[in-house]
Amino acid sequence: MAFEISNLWVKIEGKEILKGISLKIEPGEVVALMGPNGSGKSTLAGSLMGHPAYKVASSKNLVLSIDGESIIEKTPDQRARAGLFLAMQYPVSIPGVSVREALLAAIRSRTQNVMSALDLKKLIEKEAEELVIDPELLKRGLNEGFSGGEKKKMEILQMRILSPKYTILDETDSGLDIDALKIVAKGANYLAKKKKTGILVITHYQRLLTFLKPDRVLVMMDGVIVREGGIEVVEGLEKSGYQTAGKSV
Amino acid sequence: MKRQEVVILSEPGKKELVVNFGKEGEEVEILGLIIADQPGDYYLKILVDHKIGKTFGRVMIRGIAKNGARIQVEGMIKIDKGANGVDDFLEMRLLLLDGKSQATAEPKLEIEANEVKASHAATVGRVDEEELYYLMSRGIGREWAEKLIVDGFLDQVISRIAKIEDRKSVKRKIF
Amino acid sequence: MVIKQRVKVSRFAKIVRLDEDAVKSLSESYQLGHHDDITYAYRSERGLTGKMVADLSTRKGEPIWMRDLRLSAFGLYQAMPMPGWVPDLSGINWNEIYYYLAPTKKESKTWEEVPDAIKKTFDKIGIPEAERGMLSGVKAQYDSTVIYGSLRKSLSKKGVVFLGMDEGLRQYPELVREYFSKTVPLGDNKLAALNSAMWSGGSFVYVPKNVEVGLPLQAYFRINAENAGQFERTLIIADEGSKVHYVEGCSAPAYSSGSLHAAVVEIIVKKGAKVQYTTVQNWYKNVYNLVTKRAWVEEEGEMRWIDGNLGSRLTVKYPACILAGRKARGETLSIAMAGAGQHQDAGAKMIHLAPETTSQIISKSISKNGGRASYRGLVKINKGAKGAKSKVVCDALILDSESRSDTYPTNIILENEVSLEHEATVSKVGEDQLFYLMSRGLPEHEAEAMIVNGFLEPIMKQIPLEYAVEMNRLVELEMEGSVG
Repeated sequence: MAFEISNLWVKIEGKEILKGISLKIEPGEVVALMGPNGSGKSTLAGSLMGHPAYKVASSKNLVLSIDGESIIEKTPDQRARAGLFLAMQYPVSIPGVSVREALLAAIRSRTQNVMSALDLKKLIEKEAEELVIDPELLKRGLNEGFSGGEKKKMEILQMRILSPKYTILDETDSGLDIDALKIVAKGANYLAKKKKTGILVITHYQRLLTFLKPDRVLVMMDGVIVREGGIEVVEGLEKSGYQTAGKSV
Repeated sequence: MKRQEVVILSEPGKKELVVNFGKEGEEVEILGLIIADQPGDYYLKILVDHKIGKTFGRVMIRGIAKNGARIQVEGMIKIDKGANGVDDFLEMRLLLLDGKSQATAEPKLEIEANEVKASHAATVGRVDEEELYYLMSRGIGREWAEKLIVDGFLDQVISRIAKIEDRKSVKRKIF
Repeated sequence: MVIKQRVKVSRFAKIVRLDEDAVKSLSESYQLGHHDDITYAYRSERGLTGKMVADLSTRKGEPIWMRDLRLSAFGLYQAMPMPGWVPDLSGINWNEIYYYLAPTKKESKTWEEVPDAIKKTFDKIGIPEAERGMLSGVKAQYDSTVIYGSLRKSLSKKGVVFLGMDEGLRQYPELVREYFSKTVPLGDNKLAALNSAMWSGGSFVYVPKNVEVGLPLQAYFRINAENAGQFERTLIIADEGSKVHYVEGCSAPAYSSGSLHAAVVEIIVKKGAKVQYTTVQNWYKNVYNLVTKRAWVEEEGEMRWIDGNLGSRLTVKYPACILAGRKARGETLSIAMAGAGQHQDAGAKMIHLAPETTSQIISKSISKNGGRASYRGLVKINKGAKGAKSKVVCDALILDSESRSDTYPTNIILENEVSLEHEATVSKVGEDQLFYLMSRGLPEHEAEAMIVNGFLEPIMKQIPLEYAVEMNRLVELEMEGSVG
């Protein structure tokens, strides 16, 4: 049982961005993926979720599976139903579609979960309160006119309600103040500890990781994973930056 | 490959401009200026015809009418079927400077491809009272304030004219 | 059904004379062609004769003045050419259309009296529930005769009149005579002239001074026989300070030959009155839907047209407001969805005749599977309409490479102390938006339908809930491709 990625090569418009990424996330594990801008972190997030812009460059020895089930051929919605969630870095706005509508449809698309609209409404309101999201935003078109921080919190709200097996947090910390960071970390910790959700935290700052402590830390540069270790990797980066990070593997 | 087409109407009459694209990657900026300060009909028609994909257009039209002038501006962006990747925007703004003048604005779109960006905006009105008030509150008389605003309005197009000689001749004409 | 030839549409007929009384120029504007090529198609009318028109009037027991009005209109219909901007009507065989059909003899008063076959149809649309439930009263139409209508007692106590047009003429001839064909004159355009000659059915509504009709009045229409033409005529008079919401929705079963729906709706909004007219149109894809809708709005009156066009092979409709009194307000919110073989040519017209009048046009259109959605609009601000303001927003979604979207606005400003704003955008459903919803588990077609409904939401929320729900469902079905 794991979220397994092996030999992932990805091209965008002919240019190689990911060069043979391999990593594994166990249920309940928190894995941090760090790297400078341009290292390919967001490309990885998008590729795992199946964004059409990212083309898998080679299928040789490629493994992409959730708890043993391959998702290589699956569309984004099929991957979501297989238990994957991506909290996006730049959530797009969808005018006229409220978060409730989107979640109701998302929940109904999975056969296991049958929830009444009223129950969902209550659940959303409860989560919004815990995440300190203004209830007004729940009625508006998704992400329409939301600040960066509000958008990120809305991603976390959806994640908590959909309760995925594995979740990718793509630079969720950028644009959040300390209070919001703590709330997001609390939410993620809860999922990891209580629901055994495997979490891949993508970030290039260390801030979030003080509240959401990773079990393992990976460092990515130029589309390749150059370093793997424990929390000491974070401290090392804090001291010397990314330039020296690739030196010890 | 970027080029610019400029059309100026400063006397009653009719002027038409059709813009075509030869190949992918072409970019065209179209600037239109109407200075209608005599009684009579001024008619400007611009057609931007995208028959080829991945072409880029920007149309910017500014016009002023006074002394009983009547202006009519028709701006059409046309994107043919299969011309994907086109990006075009047309903007037409007309100012009526007195109670004797008139304007007809017709921004049009005919779009047959879907992987495109196409939009237009048009406004017709008079000099903004807020802007006038602002300048007058700095001690500038009303007439002069209006002239400054109108100049600034027209300058949004004039300052984009690439050829310096053309820019100079236009300015000479108006100011 | 596939339209085999690409139709070249000539441009919206522009108003040439810039200093005329707007109502007069409105009639002329449909006929004048100027520095452009405008093609005229003249149709022979062997199928329809003056005698048929006169007989219709006699059969209905109408007053002489109405019979004469019909005959004048008929004469104009014969003499006038087809309006230049109307898209291709070659699919209609004018001689073969049966102009008047009356399946039952009299108007039924209760549900039990309605013929069974008709009942089944209305059962499907849900009229009995609607009648018992929220609404004040329902007039239902079946092939040109008002079959079934009922009016709640409380309304008639307030003096509100809601009858079929035939009955309205019978009971209130002076009122009808005063307003009939005043907002849309007999010679306004060829199709309106045809309607004025052959009209049958439709609604007559009168709301007395300061009366507010709390729940929407609604009516259903149906074209149900081969080649049936429908020329319903609706006249709504909202007296000073009154308020009323009228809802019109329709559906039609499947046919092979062209069906024609050429209606005329006239609305008079008196001082301070507020009227909303909502239409959800879902005619089957062989119907030609050519409608003239116009409201005359007096001082401080408010008129709002909500126009949902989902069906028909061709719809030509530009709900208009003549803002005749100071501070009068007009709004048209329009949704058009054009699928395979469909052309929605919709829009609005706002004519500002008086000072401080305001207007707003919001148009949202969707074209898919080779459909064509066109916005055609006119905003005219006359000399003397100082302080007038108008805003037009047209958004269009083109869902695939086979479809087409056009925007043809005309803004004529004859007064300088005014402001006009117009914007239009054409786009497709964003890949990022699709990816976002799919990443939450929605299959692609469901995600697309959700985004499309979200696109329409600002207008949908102005439509009564029942209709909004039906419309959302229809949009989803259209998206799935299971409709037509």
